Amino acid sequence: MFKNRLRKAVLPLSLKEPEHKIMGMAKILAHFGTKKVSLVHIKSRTNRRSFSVQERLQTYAQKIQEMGYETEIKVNYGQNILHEISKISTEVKAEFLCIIWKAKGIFKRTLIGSKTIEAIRHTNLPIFIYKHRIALINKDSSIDSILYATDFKITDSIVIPYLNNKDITASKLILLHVGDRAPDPDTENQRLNSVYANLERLNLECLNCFKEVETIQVIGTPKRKIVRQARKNNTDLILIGKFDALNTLEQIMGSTAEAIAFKSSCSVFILPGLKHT
Amino acid sequence: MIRKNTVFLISFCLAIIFVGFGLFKPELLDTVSSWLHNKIIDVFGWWYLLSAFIFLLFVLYLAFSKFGSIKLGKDHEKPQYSYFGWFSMLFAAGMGIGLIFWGVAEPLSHFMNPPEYIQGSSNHAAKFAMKYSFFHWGLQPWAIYITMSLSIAYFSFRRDMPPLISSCFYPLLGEKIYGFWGWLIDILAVVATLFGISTSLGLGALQITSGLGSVFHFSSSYKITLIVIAVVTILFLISSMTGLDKGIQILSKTNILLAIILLIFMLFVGPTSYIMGIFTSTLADFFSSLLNMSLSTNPFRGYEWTQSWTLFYWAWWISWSPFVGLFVASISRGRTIREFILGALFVPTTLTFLWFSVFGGAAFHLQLKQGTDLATIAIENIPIVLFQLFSHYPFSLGLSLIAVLLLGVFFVTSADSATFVLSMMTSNGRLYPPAIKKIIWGLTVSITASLLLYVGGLEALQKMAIAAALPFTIVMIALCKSLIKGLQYEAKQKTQQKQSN
Repeated sequence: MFKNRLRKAVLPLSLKEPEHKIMGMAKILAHFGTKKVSLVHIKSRTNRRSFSVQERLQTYAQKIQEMGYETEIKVNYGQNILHEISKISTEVKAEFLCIIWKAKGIFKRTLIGSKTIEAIRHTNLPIFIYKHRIALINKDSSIDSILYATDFKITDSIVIPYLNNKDITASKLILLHVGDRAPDPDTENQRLNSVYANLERLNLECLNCFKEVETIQVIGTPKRKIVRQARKNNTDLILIGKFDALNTLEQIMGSTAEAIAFKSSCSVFILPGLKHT
Repeated sequence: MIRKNTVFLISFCLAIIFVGFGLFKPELLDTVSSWLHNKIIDVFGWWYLLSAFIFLLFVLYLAFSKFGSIKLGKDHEKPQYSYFGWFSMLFAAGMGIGLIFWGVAEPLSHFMNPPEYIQGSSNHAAKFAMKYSFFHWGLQPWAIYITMSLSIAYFSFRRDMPPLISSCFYPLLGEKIYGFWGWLIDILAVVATLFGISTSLGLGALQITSGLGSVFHFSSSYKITLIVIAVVTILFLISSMTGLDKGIQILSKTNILLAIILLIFMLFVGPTSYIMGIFTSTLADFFSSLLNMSLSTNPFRGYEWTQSWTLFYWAWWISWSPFVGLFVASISRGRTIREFILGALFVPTTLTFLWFSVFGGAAFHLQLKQGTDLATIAIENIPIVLFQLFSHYPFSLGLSLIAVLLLGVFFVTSADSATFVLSMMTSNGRLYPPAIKKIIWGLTVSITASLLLYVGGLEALQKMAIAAALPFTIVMIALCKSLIKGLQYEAKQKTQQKQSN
């Protein structure tokens, strides 16, 4: 699935990632129609482990090649990891960025930050955040169901072309809308009618690519409800669009996309929305 | 039919049960209510202080936020009442009657019995007394009322929902407001209003009788108090039948004019520069220690004083908020949120400050400069002290009569608006509730007051009303969240509309 738009992936590795996670992720990439994976490692000038780095990257590249991908290795020097990854992504004309999720406690996250969050905030490429799940690996790394959380805004125009692809192998798509209840019953009825109409429109747009499309609308806070619905429906992948205009509170507390990336137990695909002008 | 009248039937039954309890077992009701009241004030005193301060911050935030320009009504609507009519009704329903009684008595009472860390009858105690009188009747009480009335006005006039407290919870509870949760909120509001107004009417009737007794030189008795209650009942029932536009508005305007005349007379005939000096310096004291007073429970010193005054007041204002909130909402249609908050927060507060400065200042002048002991009278017999103050001024008989008239009319106005609010709350929020419900509630209030006055269960009922304030603070905090959700939704819709245009 998504093969026309997600052929070239950049996979940054700190080389602290366990091998089974890297391989698990590589298996998943097949479902996106990915053909080429660039393994990227950013070193600081003081790092003297250059030989072992090359060797390990070679080993991973070989194993990924055996899965049927074309690979290349890129090692850059620099202090600003995100900047270097971005430079390489442009250089190799990558179409998306893959990140292997590393759980960090709230204190670590607050005190020393998170590279994943920085990437979500600053990268304009689609980002696939891989969360390793034993159950998923056991069922041959397949993605059976995808949950797309929509707000019917500009992100739809970005996300739907990714979903609307005949090569999609996932059997079920859940279209989820999370919104606030209107302040009075009449406006709420109007809101619900509009939500159902929009969900139906999206349903029709995606019907050809999935065996089953389910539409759900719930009331509440998106960051909580999306994760809860994904868990409830045993979803394999959450797909969300990212809106770039963050208000002051979101800049401090983090956006909905960032919160979902943290809270979700399944993998998350974040597609960048249009830049807010 | 029964479903439509659920709130009415349940609250009416609850009222009968409580009144019956008070009639046949007054000692037991007193024991239970005293225990409940003391426990709540003791354990949750800090919560009352904190929530009242939160309401003040909340309304100030709303006034100066982007939501301030939203109208409490449709965009094209104009305010129903003139500023004078609106302020008069705000003041009359909010606290007019209390000020007549406490304007002299409260500063003198704090002066005589301040917290233990201040020496009684000292200059320091006088300064403290004025500052805390401003505080107890100042910004927080109005912030509590505004929080309630703003929510009701927004959801009923802007969002076309029935003017009920439960309606304000639609963004949080959705359709559940038409079921158990909605009923629970409305019943709690009806019961708190009924208990509050019944005790006020009973205690107020006692005070009017005392006032009349001091003017016409007779000793008060239960029979005379009963006659006062009967007269007030007839008057407020007549007023309530004429509707909000005529009855309450005319009464309130008359009252505010009388109050202003009394205020101006006392200011200029009394020690003007002394009073204005007290006003100015207490204003400075009030604002400079507002944060301290707002949040200080004084756990290490004088906690009992805080419990019996500040916490009692806060609980009392909160228990009155459903009634005043609904009434103030019903007279505020067509005003913007900013105009509503700033008007209802600062105009009555300024008048209150002036009132305390004039009457408290005049009393302190007699007490401290001329050696007249009014403070002891204030401690022994609160209703008399105002008339004792008048006795040192020219035209004292006329002043006393104006004060009794003010008391009477304020009583009629409060009882009238309470009957209107009770009927509206138990008629699914109908702005023109049926006359029969007004009569039922009017008589219920008067009969409850008369009966409990006879057996001595009135203060127990007042304590129950204050106990009801505890769940209401939680209801009000949720109300703030619900209102913000509603306003945010509207602001979001507007932004989207602008973007699509």
